Amino acid sequence: MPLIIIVLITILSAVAFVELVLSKLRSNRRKAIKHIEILDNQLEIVEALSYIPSSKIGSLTDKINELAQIFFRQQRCVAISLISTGNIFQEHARVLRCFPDKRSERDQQLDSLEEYLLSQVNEEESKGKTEKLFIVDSLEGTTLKESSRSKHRIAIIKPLDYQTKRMGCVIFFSESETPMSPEERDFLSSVGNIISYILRKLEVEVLLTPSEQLTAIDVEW
Amino acid sequence: MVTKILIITLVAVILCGELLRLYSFSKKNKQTTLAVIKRQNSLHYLDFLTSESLKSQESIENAFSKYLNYLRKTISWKYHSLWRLISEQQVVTIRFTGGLPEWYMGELGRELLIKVGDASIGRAVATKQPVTINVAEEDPRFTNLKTYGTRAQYRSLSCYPLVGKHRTLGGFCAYGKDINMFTLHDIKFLLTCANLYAIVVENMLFDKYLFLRTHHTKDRP
Repeated sequence: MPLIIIVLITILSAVAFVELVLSKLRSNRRKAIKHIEILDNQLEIVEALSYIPSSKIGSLTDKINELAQIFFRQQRCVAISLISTGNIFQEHARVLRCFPDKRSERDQQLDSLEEYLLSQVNEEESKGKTEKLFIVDSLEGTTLKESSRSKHRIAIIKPLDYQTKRMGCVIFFSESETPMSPEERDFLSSVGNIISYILRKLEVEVLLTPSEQLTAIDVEW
Repeated sequence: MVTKILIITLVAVILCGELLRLYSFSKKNKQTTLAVIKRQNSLHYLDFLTSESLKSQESIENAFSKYLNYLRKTISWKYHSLWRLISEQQVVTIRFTGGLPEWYMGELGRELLIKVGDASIGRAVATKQPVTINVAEEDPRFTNLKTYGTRAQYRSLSCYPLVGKHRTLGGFCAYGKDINMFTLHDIKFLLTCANLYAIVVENMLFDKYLFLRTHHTKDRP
């Protein structure tokens, strides 16, 4: 009789231990699978965006809008502002704002929120910081709350550079206050860089005629 | 005595079963973790590539040897190669490699001109679609792969077109040391890389043309 009890206790404790370890492993795996889905979505967005700079169809506004819509479908982002250092959009606008409801607006003037965010970036950069992304959260100033983009909590600013030249910056307004993981930073930075490619393509179109562009690429490299 | 043996066997079977469950689940978990790491590395590489190419003023040779070597380190396929399309002759020729043996670049770079539509890279360039070969030595479509694959020690490969805004610029290949190396995720990621490489090459050629044009104009009396 005591032997049976000892055996039962041994089996039960072994099973319980294994179940405990398995439940921990299962919950880790569930988290990992969820993480994989997020990462796959991000990679798919970058893949979809990677076709846009080389696409022949559409104006800059159309391309940025297309890019923003692909981005909105997958991300918790409530608005995107693209600010150019020059007048590169049609109608000489400096700012292009895109919203998830496919609405977009062009403006010659930056609004107070955009001015505030740019001043924050300039301030950081004047201190010698060269971050790939600047994050401004709602705690840092009331300017964010005064804006019409009421849902957002934080703004992520990506400066758009080509070689040594500043072409503008893109601001992602997000409603999520959770800290950004390194891969989210990589992802947003890649999205910003693809926008830089689009702006550069537009610059090249002003500097070179279509036949010159063909001559330029028709060389041995 | 018989009862005792039966009980001990039962305990042993149950414990072995539990251990087996634990082992198989931890194996699954390890695979999931590897999948997460691979995706994180992919995003990191895309950020590296786009950021570096926007900053860099290096020559195509230096820049691409850096991009391809970094791809090899981050994502760990065995080799990579970049091919240029010679438009007038409608052939592709190898330009840069990441990790391939010296002789490969030497022999193929000097002698091998692949007709558009022939071999895996020629087919990728002609169709503007990825071409993936899961078992290099057995693929009936591309018999020469057996020779090169054995010598260069790769067993699977995947080729992608570099599609620019005005025309196809060439192709890009990744080689694996095992069979069936390329998953759907890998193919999508490598296609993204190829799209970005095309943008980078085009930008570099435009920059070179603009530089030469400016200096040529300045030098005129």
